[in-house]
Amino acid sequence: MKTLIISIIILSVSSTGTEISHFYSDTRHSLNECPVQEPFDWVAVDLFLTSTQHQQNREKAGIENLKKQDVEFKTILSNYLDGDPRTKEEVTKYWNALGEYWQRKGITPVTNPQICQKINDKLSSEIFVQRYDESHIRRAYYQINDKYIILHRSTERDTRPKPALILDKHLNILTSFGI
Amino acid sequence: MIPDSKLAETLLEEQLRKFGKGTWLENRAAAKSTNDQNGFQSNSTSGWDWECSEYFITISCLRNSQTGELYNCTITEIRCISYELVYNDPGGGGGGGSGGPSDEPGECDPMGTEPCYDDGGGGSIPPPEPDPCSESNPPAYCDNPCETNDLLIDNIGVQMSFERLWDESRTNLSIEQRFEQGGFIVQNPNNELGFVNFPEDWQRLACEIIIPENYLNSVPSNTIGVVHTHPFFEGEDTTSPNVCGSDGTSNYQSGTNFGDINFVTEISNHLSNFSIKGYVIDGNNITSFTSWGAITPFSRCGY
Repeated sequence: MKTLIISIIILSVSSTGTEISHFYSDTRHSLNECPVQEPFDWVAVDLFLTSTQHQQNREKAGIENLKKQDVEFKTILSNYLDGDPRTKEEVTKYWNALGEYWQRKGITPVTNPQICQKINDKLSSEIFVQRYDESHIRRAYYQINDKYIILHRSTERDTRPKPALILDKHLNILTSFGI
Repeated sequence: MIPDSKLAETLLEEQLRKFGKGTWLENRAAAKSTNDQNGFQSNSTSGWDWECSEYFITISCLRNSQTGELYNCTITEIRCISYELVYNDPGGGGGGGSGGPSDEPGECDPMGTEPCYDDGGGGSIPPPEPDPCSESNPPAYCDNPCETNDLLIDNIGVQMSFERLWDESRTNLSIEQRFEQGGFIVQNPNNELGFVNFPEDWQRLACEIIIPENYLNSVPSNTIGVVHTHPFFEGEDTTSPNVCGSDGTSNYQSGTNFGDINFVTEISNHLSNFSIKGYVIDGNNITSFTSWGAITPFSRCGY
């Protein structure tokens, strides 16, 4: 009985945590699945690749600076919408345009279950990464050349940077930081 | 002379009625007191007065932890950020027509290089416009006004809110002792801007503000901007366990983060207003961002 009550409490807390955003679906996954990448996640990719505040992290990970070409991006964006987004649907179109731009630059969401399983297994074995799992959910994996970006999201709402990792092709952690 | 009291009351009532019945009467005394303390009454000489034409009102509220709704809102500050000169002695003698000011060139200055004022027969000269920058402890915007072409940042009232948030972030103390601070920039029906502080029970820490689950009920419906501080200066180390820990950096740089953008995106979605903008202010810069994550940096100004 005691076990049953504890299980119900854990389930209740977990289900609360999934309602983190109107823009997020529940991306929690079993260990051999890839997280379900959301259009909004491209904002984090864009932030990591272009902002000066992450230059140090890019250097640590050996990822070149990728200045976003405004003209090229606007050309892609114009295929999705005219002017600034005004509705939720248009905002999502903006994020999809952002995704298309970066995918043209070779940054792709990881969707291969075998690779995701290897990443999940590796992260589960990293003691300092396990700390994330207590309060964070892995939300998206991206591949940049032969490296991987791992994004997390918090189960709490706050303005704190969210944990992110860069892995090399052997899945060794090159750098961890908040984004 | 007290500025147009009916206008002031209307403004206060507009603000207070948003937060539940009874708050207007409950807080009216406090509002009047604040009004008096802030001393935004215009100077007065015979015939002319400066009346406030634009107020900036700051409000703090308590939050119902069950529903997230705000209640018991009090006005913490009323500032006049724009004045207009009015002639208040319409019976002041002949030769002046309506008795109001005239700036027709040539009427009293043949060269038309200076604004002219009909003295209405009373012989009055307009007093100088009230100027907070000439006071003994002027606002920070006097030394470093914002001229960014961002309408919210460039608003004097918003800059003064930035200054207050920055002061309350205690950035003169060690990094572990600082706090993020923030609030909502709101626009009233008459298009004047105001500020609503984040509820007091939203926990402020050096690297984050912890936002309760039902926070969307705390967001004023007339929000057009959301601002919070990053109480750091570029180059500082934020990796102390009591600051940002492993989510920090040994070399802080201005900017925003994924959580900040998500916060504004959720608010925009809740209010169905995707023109709401986010602002992060720190020791070096102001970072503006849209609800879809487009970022524009500005140099620090106004605080």
